[in-house]
Parts: sequence; structure tokens; C-alpha cells
Amino acid sequence: MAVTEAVWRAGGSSEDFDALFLAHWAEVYRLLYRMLGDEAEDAAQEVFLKLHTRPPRPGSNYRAWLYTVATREGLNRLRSRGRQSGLLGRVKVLLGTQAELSPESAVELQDEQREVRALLGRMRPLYAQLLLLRHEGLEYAELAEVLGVRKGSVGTLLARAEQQFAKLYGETGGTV
Amino acid sequence: MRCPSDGDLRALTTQRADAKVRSHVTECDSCQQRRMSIERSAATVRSTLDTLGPAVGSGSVKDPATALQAFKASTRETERTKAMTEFGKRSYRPAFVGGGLVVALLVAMTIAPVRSAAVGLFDVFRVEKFAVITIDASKMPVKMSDDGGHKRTGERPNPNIFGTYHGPLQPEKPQEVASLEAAEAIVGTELAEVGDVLDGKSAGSVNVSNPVRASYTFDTDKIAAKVRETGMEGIRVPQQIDGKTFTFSADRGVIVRYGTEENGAVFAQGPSPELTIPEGVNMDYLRQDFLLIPGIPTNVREQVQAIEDWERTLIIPVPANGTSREVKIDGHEGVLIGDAAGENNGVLWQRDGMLYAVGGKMSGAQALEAARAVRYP
Repeated sequence: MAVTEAVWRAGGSSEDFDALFLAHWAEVYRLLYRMLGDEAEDAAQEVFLKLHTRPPRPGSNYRAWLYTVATREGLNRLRSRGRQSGLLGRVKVLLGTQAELSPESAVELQDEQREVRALLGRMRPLYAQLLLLRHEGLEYAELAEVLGVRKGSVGTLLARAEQQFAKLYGETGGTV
Repeated sequence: MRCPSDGDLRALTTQRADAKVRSHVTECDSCQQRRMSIERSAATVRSTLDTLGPAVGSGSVKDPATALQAFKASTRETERTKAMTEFGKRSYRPAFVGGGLVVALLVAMTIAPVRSAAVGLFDVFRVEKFAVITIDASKMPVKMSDDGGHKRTGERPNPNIFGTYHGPLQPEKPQEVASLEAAEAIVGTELAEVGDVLDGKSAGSVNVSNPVRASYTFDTDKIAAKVRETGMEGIRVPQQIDGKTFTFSADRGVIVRYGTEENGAVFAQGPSPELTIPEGVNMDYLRQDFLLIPGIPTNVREQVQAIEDWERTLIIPVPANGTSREVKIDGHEGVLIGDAAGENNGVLWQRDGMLYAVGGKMSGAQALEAARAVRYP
């Protein structure tokens, strides 16, 4: 992506930053939404604040850098945020965030999403990052760059990550 | 051909597998079973993550231009400028003396032999390299083994003297299992196996360690009180850690013992432990604090200063009479450590986020040979 070649660094122009923001906001937000739900916008803003205040070295792959920071931000929040109470979550659902579903279906979906996010928070961080980024469509070479592993190891790591996820999912009552 | 790795089998689901793998799998019942298991897991992940839903284009999601406006509105220019200035000053900031002694040693004692390493700029620290520093414990200003006399009294040391600690007070005893396969079932992944070098020694036991999660929230008032109590002078407590929570996590590891107690060897493996640094804590500053503590021996200070990529490096302190050197295990960073007599040696190395160690009653060359003979899944 051409815009990732933009030279944004401390002292760089605000136009460079704006271009990066506009180019990558949607994918960063989408990834964080999967991880956090309604908290995604706040988390995405935090990711871009980090880009603004502590940018990567010039010449970096900014997309890879943003994915790295976003998955860490998401996992940190998954692990440490005060869990929204089940009742409050249900109320929010009924107030319309899943308006196209019946109230019962919306609550069930919200419950499942909460369980899946909690499960990701319990996983080994590297594995959770791998699954989320692969699900976002990143290729093996991109995953290797984002996560700092050898490209030749990505397949095996993915298989392990999927096995760990399936095992934990099975333990929570899901079916493999 | 030898049975392919999980990664090769997984590639069958994405058309990446080469013809040899494909051919092998059609004739190998075991691999067909593994492939089906892998495919089931992959399908579970896909369908489950799908429930988290696409976000863009749905509901109240802001388009990028609107989001950028919101970003600019919520981030005042003055604050952004201040943050940029603070970031730019890191190289010139006059380091304050000392309080890092407490912090650095506490972190060191709490999280690992010393420390894990940073991936990227912030947050999750993970081991990627190793560096050995030699330490004469008798010359340290605070002894690593100092437990305040609790061993003598039988009383448990108080972990909350510098803040609030949540986590196990003592390591849990590893769970002994019948076989490596049983260990694999517990950790949920395939494990590496030691090669022929140790096969001459009979496998004595297989143990699986329990996952560890711990956190420490620092309270600078408590640290200051402790500094006053110990009578140390010239120490300022770093305010940047006040109220900040450092978290440590380590997933299950597997330890296989070979041979006898007197003539034994150990092969251990597990995911790299990870240390999460809270937002707003600059580890460079803490390092500088540590290096400027009055009483830190010059040679220790010099050894730590000499570590160039310190944020990605696990520092391993060894006694001054020990031996050590950097080694490569199949191209991966590692370190060979031995005792003064050369009778006991071990190799520690990392590979794709996993830590491995092999060692025991053997020469350095034997330890290296054993490490290089490890078969990975």
C-alpha cells in the first residue's frame, strides 16, 4: 500500500500522519472491534495516539506496526479492563446495538462474543495475535513481520494456536 | 518421508502443501488423523471469530475522516506537543539516582532470573536474546537472597512492601505425568523431543509446570518508606511507576528428566514468559536508575551497559566463578552456561517464542550436541 511509504516520524508533517490515519483506521478499528466490541473506537484512538507520539523508525512497515500495537492494545484491555456486568451488557444490547436481532438472539450473541473475547484474553498472547491477524486476512509473510517470527514457522504456530483455541473453547462448553 | 509438521499439514487446507506432503498423508493413517484434528480446530476458530462480527459499515462506526476529526478534537495540541517533547528528551534526561535499585531488583526477583524483553516499543516483553553477566553476590548493595530473615523464622516474606502483589507466593509443584504424549495433551500442543544424545540415559520423569500469572502495582510511598528504613542515601523514587501495574505471565512448561540424580540431565521447554509494562512507564529510565544506584559494582554496571539490545535480551546472572558464552542453536540465539569445575553445563535458547533448555551432568560440548539434536514439532 503506497501510503505506508509515507514518511511519518517525530517532526514529520501532519499531512503524513493524516494520510496514515485515513488509510488504516478502518482495518485497525475492525480488528479491535472483534477483540473489544464497543470499546474498539477508544482503543483505536489510543493506537493512533501512539503512532503520533511514538512513531516507528522511518522506513518501517506502518501497517505491520499498527497491527502489532493494535493487537497488544486489544489484548491488554481484554485482560485488564473491568468486566462489564452481564446485566449492563444485556441492557445495552436491548437498547439497540444489535437492533436487527430479536432481543433474545441479541443477548445470546452478546454472551457468545463476551465468552470468545474472554477466551482470547486467556490464550498465549502470541497465539491470540496470530489467530486474530490471520482472520483479518494477513498472509504468512505479513504475520511473520508483524509478530517477529520466521515465515517458515507461521504454519506450525497457527496450527498450535488453533489447537489451543479449540481446546479452550471446548472447555467452555463450545463444540469442536 | 518423515511425518510432516503441523504447519505442513495445516497447509493442506490452504493449497500450500507440496506434493510430497500430500502424497505422504494419503498413505499415513496417523497424519490423516492429525490433519482432521487440525482442520477441525481451524474451522472452529473461523466460525467462532466470525461471531465477533464485521464492524466497518455497520451501526455507528465512524468513517475514517470523521474518526480523524474526533481524534484531533480529543487530543489537544498542547498535550500532543508535550508528549512529543517528553519523547524527544529521553536521551538527554538527567537520570535520577537510585530508586531503581528497589524497582530493578524487585522486578528482577519477581519476574524471572532477571528480565524478559520488549517486542516493539511497548507493552509486551518477550525473550529474544540472552546475555550473561557475572555477579559477585557478596558485593551487591542488596543481596538477591535477602529475605529479611524469613527463612530463619519460617515466616513468609511480605510481597507487598513496595506495593500490592497479586499472584502465587510460591511456585506450585509441577504435575508429574506418564509420558510426553500426556504432557502434550495438557499443554495442548505438540512438543519438541530431545535427540539421540540423551536417549542413552533413561527417561526418569515428565513434569508439566502450572501456568503463572502475577501482577505488581507499585506504591511509591511504600518504596520511599522502605528506602528510609534501610538507611540508603541519595535515592529518589521514580514517580513514573506509582500506581502502575506490571504483569507477568508464563504458560505451562514441560520438563523431562533423564538418568539418575547423580548423573542426570534435563530437557525443558515452554513458551517465553511475558512481562507487560503499563502505559507511561519508560523502561529506559528504569534501566538508567538501576545503573546509577550507589553501590552497584562497577563491573556489573559495565556489563549491563554493554548490552546493546537490552530491551530484547534476557539477562542471566551467573556466579563470578561460572562460565558462559553465546551460542547458536540452528541459527537461533542461545547461551551455554557451566559451573566452575566444568562438570555441569546447560544450554538455554529461544526459537519462535519458545524457550528451551538442556543440561545436566555433562560437558559443554555434550550440552551443545544435545541442544542441536532436538527435534521440533
